[in-house]
Amino acid sequence: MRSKKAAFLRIAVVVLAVAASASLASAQALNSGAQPITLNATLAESLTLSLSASTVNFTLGAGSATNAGSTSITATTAWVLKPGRTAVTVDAYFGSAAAALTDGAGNNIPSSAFDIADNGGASTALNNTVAFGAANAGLRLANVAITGANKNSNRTDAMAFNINLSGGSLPQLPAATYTGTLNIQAQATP
Amino acid sequence: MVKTVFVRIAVVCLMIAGIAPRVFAADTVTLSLSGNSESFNLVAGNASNSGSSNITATTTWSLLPPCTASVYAYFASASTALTDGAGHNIPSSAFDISDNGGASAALTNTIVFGGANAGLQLENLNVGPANKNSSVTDAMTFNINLSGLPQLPAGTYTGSLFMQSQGACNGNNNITNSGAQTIAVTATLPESLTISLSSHAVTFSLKAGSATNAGSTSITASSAWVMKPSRTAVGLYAYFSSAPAALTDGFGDNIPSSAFFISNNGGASTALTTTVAFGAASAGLRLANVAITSANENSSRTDAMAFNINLSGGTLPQLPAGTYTGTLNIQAQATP
Repeated sequence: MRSKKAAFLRIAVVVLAVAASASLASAQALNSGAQPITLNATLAESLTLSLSASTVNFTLGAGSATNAGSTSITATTAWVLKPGRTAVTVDAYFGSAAAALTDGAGNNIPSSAFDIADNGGASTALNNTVAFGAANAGLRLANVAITGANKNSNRTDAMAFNINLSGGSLPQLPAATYTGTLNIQAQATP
Repeated sequence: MVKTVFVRIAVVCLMIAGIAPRVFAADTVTLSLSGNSESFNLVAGNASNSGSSNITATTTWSLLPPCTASVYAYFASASTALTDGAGHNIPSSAFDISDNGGASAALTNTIVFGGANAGLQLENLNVGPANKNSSVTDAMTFNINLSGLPQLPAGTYTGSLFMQSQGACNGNNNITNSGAQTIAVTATLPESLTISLSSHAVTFSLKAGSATNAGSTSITASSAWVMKPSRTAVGLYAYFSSAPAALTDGFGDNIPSSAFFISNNGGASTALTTTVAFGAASAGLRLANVAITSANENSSRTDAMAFNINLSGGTLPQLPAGTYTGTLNIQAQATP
């Protein structure tokens, strides 16, 4: 009698287990296969510089230290940089230190007589060797350290120009029209 | 006198001898099958669902002409030739037999056996002196046509196809039936849920800090399903395996799933910020949730997805230049 009861209990347990597993199976969600879409997003590295104007005139006074340009020019520099970059520099430079401007007849205004006051700062001659241009013919307007906070950023440099004809032989500069090209350029390093 | 009696007796004996075959020689009709089971792997809505094997019925008779010998195939019910036992049926009108290479014909006739409109006569032969002891074979191929049953739910459908022959002699006064032979029919319509994509790659030309960086192409996901009756919903999901790094440049710079947007079927652009059935927490978007009824157990839908990456939020305007890659998955789930 006891044996029959035990057998009955065993059968009941098996039946319940089967019923439970069947219930679980029927409640199982059906999934499709996962279909992948490969995403490729490119954020291109960029460094641009634009100027508010591209021409400046000077009316020179012989021997004068102060010959301001006709207008200030604002350089707007914008960048989107890779993680490895640590600095962005903005340089102004001439192709020649000795003949930044020339009358084409052998009379020149050197870069050392050409001053830029950047963002209201001190007027400084272009007599450094910078990343671009001739030796001793440039001026670093800005050197921006790049951190996680300004990998994508921009800056403006409002430049006021002056030609100083008071130094060296420049007081003897003959009357003429002197032309030259001042370049403004930015560089991200390394 | 004795001679007359003898002649009379002789005549009677001859008459008895002549009649006896008609009275005592029993007509016989038998039918045998080369197989007793037939299985089908069904495709939802498909007109052509061939059986797994051919079955040949051999009918043998010994009849006293003039007779006809007929062979029949039939189900007991026209409406429930095969059933899943849960109220879903395949009618006999969807069950076709091609006999001896002939045209496929549905079991839609009312014959001498089986349910009304549930049968098909395969043979109707005249039996004369030349073939009073003869036989006929019927090589049958089977098909289930589901083109008229596009919403048949997934399941296993079973039924019994009966084969039976009949000899009818003496102006149908002498009817002899074979025994009914049974072919067990099992038809399985598997449950399925599939997705295909029109394309598997999207590229983005990002602009730093911009909220609008559209993907190079839209992708259409085509979902199709054949469901069991118990299913109540099909969900379609887009997801990433990581919420903070849905796309990454591999150097620790990431685009999170919250900056990845999908506009589905022209709807609002929505970020993948929800925890869905698949993928990482807060890295998904449910594109669709289709309630399953008896009207769409076998159905499909398309989802045309347009993509955008929004770099205007949080620290993303400072995302460094680089190539960011990731995998967006599209997957469907039927529940429960």
